[in-house]
Amino acid sequence: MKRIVFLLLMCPFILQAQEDEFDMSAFEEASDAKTYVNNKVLGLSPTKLLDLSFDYAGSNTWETMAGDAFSGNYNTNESTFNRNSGFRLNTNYPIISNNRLIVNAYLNYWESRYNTESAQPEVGQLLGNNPLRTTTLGALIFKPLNDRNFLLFQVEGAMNGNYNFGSISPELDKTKLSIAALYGWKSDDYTNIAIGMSRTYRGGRLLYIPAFMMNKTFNEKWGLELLLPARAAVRRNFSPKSFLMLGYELEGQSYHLQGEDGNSISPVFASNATSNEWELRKSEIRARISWDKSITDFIWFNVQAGAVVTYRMDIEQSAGASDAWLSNSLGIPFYFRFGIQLVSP
Amino acid sequence: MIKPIYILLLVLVPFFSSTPESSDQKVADKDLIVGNWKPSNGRSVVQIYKGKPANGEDPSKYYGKIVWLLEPNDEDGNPRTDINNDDDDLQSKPLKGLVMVKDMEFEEVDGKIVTWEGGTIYDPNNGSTYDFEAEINKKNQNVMEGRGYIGFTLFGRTDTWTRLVKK
Repeated sequence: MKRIVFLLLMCPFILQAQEDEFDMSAFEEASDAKTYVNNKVLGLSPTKLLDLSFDYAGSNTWETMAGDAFSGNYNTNESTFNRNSGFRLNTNYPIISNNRLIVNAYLNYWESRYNTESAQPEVGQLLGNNPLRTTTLGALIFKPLNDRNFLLFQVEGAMNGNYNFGSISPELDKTKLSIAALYGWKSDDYTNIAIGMSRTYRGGRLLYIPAFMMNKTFNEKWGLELLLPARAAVRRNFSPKSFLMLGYELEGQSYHLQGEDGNSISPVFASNATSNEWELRKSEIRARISWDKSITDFIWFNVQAGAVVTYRMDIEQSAGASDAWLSNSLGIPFYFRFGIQLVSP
Repeated sequence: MIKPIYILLLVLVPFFSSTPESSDQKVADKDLIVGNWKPSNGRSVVQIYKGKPANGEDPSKYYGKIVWLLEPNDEDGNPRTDINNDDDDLQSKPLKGLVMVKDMEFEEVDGKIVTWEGGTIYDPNNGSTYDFEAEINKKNQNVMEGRGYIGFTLFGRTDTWTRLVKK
């Protein structure tokens, strides 16, 4: 009898042990909860909260010639530059982060310093004296619509130019506005696709072009990360904390050029131009191989190397002009970049 | 003849050993976090419980273990293990049963918001451990906002977990 009573006494504990074997079929989500698609794709390269890097492109030829707007007024000038280098700081702050809305704000600052061999006055010396700077403030918004579809918005204002915070001040009214809006599907935890439109300066000039995003993890080793036309890469994962990317990035901006203390950017323009408002339309394709690896759980490094193919580097009048005054033809230098990053959970 | 003490135990033990399963039950604010929760990606269920001294856990703190996986087996049909753990010895440990939330402490009740802080959360997808805090609005006790972060809550990501209740 005592044995029976002992078994009866143990019943609750046996039941408790059985509860440890969780039976999903016996449970359901609380009725007032709604499921939304999230922005995570398994295996995807991690989001960076902070990214400080140094970018270096090696020596190369540099040919400057008259553009259509300045034809006949300028003799082609050949020179070289020793290097084009600079630090880049990218920051990314999650302002709102929940299942119904993700808003990330970012503030980036890039420098691009040219070191020229024989300083040609029109461009080389200008850029040699004051590096190109880009200060970008933007927001990336992910809005899930249901358990499958989402909207993606990006809006940013970029202050690009050769300002030096001294004799050349940044001009807020020259801020370049870029916008992208995409509608997407997440078919499973390994794939998302989105299509939309973008207003972008990646081609150097303002463009309104379609945008296409696709993130796909095929298996534990291989994946694809596309945001066309901005970048594309094939990903090879060695582990969740180490992967290679092979692909390209299209980098471009329109930089507002100013002379020191309000002077003309170059004497050759002074007697010909109708205004002293100039833009450097710069666009380049960086074909690269990139390696990301964690040092600790949160701190990663990135090292990348490849070639810079300059697609456009023209100087134009700011207002209304579509023809270049000067066009620059650059070779294809080798480049590398090394960065330290703080990655998001 | 059954001794009276056994009869008394038979009556009382089920009451003391029962566990809360429904959000409808009146539980202390600090224990609102106890239960079965599904993270937003729907790929697992995490059971939050009070620390068990027998497991070396602090009974005043809260822990969470994986009790269900959408894909319990790997491509070879074997139960998934913690293959991304930096510690080689732990890589063979089954994911099911893994304690991924540790040392959560009840912090405060501020109006309708109940918070737990000071914990950590382990992400088996990448083998990383982050600081973790959670909050539940008493108006909707079936939703928990859990935030994994790095040092400062600013550097983090919030995920909404949904409580599971018995059918």
